[in-house]
Amino acid sequence: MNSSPSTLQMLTGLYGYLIPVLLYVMWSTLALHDLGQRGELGAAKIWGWTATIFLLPFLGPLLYLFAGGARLSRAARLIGVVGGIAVYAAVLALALAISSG
Amino acid sequence: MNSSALRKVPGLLVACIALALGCVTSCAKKEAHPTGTILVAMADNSFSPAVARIPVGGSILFHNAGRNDHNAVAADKSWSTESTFGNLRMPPESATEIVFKTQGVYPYYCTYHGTPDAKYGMVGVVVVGDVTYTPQTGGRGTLAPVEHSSGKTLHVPKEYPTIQNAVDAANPGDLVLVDPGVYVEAVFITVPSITVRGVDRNSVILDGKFLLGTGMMVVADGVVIENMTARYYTLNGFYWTGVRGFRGSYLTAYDNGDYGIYAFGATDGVFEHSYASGSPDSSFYVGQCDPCRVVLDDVTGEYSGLGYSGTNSSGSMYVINSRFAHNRSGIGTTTFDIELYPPGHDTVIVGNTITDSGTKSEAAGFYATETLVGNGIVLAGTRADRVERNYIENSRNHGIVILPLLDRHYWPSMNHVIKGNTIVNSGRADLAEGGLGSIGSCFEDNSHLSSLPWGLQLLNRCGGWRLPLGADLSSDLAFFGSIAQIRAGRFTLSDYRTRPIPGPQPNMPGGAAAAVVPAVHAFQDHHFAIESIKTPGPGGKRSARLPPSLFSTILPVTVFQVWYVIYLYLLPILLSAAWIILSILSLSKDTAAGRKVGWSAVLLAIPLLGGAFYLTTRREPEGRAARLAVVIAGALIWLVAVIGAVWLGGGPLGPKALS
Repeated sequence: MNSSPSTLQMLTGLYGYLIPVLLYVMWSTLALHDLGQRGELGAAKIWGWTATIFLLPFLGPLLYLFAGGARLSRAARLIGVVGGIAVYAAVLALALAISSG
Repeated sequence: MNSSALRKVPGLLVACIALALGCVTSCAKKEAHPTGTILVAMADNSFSPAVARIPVGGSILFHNAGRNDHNAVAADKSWSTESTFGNLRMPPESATEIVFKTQGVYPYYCTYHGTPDAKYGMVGVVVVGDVTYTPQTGGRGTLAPVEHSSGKTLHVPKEYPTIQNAVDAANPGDLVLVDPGVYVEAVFITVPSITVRGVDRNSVILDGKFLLGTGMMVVADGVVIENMTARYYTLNGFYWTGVRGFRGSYLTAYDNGDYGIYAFGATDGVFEHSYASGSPDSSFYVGQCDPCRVVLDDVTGEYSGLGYSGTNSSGSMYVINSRFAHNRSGIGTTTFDIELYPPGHDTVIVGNTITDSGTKSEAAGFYATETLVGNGIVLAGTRADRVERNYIENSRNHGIVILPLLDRHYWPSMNHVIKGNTIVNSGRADLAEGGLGSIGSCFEDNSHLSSLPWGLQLLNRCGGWRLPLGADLSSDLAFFGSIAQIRAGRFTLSDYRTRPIPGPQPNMPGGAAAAVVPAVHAFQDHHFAIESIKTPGPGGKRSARLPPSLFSTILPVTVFQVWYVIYLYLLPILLSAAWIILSILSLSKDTAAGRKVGWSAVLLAIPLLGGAFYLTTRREPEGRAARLAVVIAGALIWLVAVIGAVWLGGGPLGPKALS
C-alpha cells in the first residue's frame, strides 16, 4: 500500500484536479461570450444572466447555455459541456481503477 | 528535520513544468531505494550525530552548520574531507560527501577542535556495516543492561563533584542523584540502564553557556534521565542515539541551538511530562528508526522551528496528549534521503493541542523549517500517518497539510488518515492536500471551515471513494517560492539564545524518593490507549484570532510569491482555458463534422497543447494573426516566467546557493 505512485497515478491526479478548474473557466467564458453577442436582450436579462453565471459556479453557465437561449451552435455546446464532463469522468474512472488504497 | 532540499529547486521545477506541459516520461520517480546516506552536521565544536551507522557502500554527507571552519579526518588517516572537498578547511555552509565501501568502525576528528586519536574534543565515529560498536566505557569494557534497580545511589556533588564523574562510576541499575546547582558540563553516558535524576526539576540545571555542544548524550541502552533542566547548549539539551530502550521524564530544555529533547537511531523509548522550547530545528525530535516503538506523551513544545519533528521515524511512533504552541510549525513528519530508512511512515498523532503556528516571528527557526512554516500539522513526504482528534487553532497557513517533499528523491505524501480533528482559524485553509502524487489519503469527521482544494473531506472519505483532488500544484509551487526566497536570503529568524525562558515546571511525583525503573523496555512499560483519547479543547486562555490573511496568502506580497504562485501556477491554467475556448469558438464555425469530432477529442484530452496546436495550425485566414498572437505571446510570457523562477530559485544565474 505504501509504494510510490506510478506515472499514470500522478497524471490522473493532476488531471483530476485541473479539469474541473478548466471546465469552470471554460463554461463561464463561453456563456459570457455568448451573452455579449445578444443585442436583443434587455439590460435586466443581461444583468440577471451575468449574475447567475458568476454566482452559481458550474450550474449558472450550464443553465444559460442550455436554457438561456444561447446562440452558440449546438455542436459547440455539446463539445464544451458533454465532452468536458466525459473527459473528467474518464479520468476519474481511470484514477479509481488504478488507485492504490 | 534536516534538509538538503534547497539545492534541488530548479530540477524539480523543470520536472513539474514538464509534467504540466503533458510530458509523461521521466517525471514520476521510480521507487527509491534507501541510499544509506546520513547527514552529519559540523557544529561549533562537535559532530551531530556523533555516531553514524551506515550500510556498506553508504555515505556520510558532512555539512558545516557552524560559524567556524571545520573538517573531518579519520584517526587512521584512511579518509578525510580534504580528499573529497579539495581543501582541509571547510568554511561555514560548505558540504562534502564521503562513501564508505569497507565494513568497519572509523573514529574521526576535526583537526582544529579534536585530538588526533579521535578521543577528545570534536570527534565522531562512522560505523559501516553490521559490526558491533561499543563506545568507550571508561576502560571497563562492555556492560550489560539490567532490568531492575540495583538499589545503589551515587550523589552529586556530595560524593562525585560532577555528573560525568558519577555516571562514569555507576554500574547498570544504579541511580545518580543530582542536587540543586548549575552544572556547566557536557555529560556523555556510556553505562547502560542507569537513572540520572535531579532532586528538583527547576533548580538542577545543566548549562552549556552557549559553548558546550550537548547537555547529556546517551549511547548506552536503557538509560533514564529525569527531573532536571538543560539550557544554552549549541546543539541539544538531552540526546539519546543508537540505543535500545530510553526514557526522558519531567525534563525541561530551553534555548538550545539544534534540538531540545532528541532521539536519533534509537528505539523502544518514551518522552513524557517534559517541556522544550526555543530550538531552531525542533523542541522534540525522533529521527531514523523503523520500527521506532517510541511514544511522546504529555509533552509541551514551544517557540521552536517545529514543536515535534520526526524524520524517517516510522512504525509504532506516537505523539499523544501533548501541546505545541508558538512554533514556526506545530508537528512535522518528514522524509529525507540524508537519514536512513526513507520514507517515514505510520506515525500516530492523537489528542494534541496545536496553536499559533507561524503566526509571529517569536519562534526560533532555520532555513529548512522556514520552508514548512505556518502549519499546525504538516505531513511532508511521509506515508500512512494517522492524525486524529487533535485541536488546532491559529495556523498561519494550514491547520493540517499533506504535501510532497523533495530531497535526492521526490517523496509524495500519501495514504494518511485524517479523522475527527477540530481545526479553527487557519490563514489559508484548515485542511489541505497538494502536490504531485498526493494520493490515497482520507478525511472524515474533521470540524473545519475551509479546505484546499474545495471538497477534500466530502470527496475523500475514509470509507468511500477517494477522488484524485490532491494534485494542486499551488502547494508545490508556493513551497518552491519559499525556498527561492530563503536562498536569496530574504527571511528573518529569531535567535535561539534569546527565546522566552519558561516558568517553573511541575516536579516528578515522589521526587528524589521515586522508584527507580531502568528504561530497558520503556515503550512496553508505558501504558496508553489510543482509542480512548478525547479531542482536547482550546484550553483556558484563547489566543487572539488571526488577522485576515488576505494580503499575506491570497494576494502574494513578495516578488517570489507573485512569480511562483501567479505566473507558474495560474498562468498555465489561464492559457489552457483561453486556448481551448478560442479553439472551440473557432471550431464551431467549421463545417466538416469529422474535423469537429477529431479536433474536439484532441482539445479535451490534451488540455494545454491541444488548444495551442489547433490555433496555430488552422489555415482559415480570418483571425489567423490573432490566433497566432495569443498562442505565441502567451507561451513566451510563460517561458520567461519559468526562466525567471529558475533564476530566482538559484540556478546558474541566480543568487549564491546555500551550500
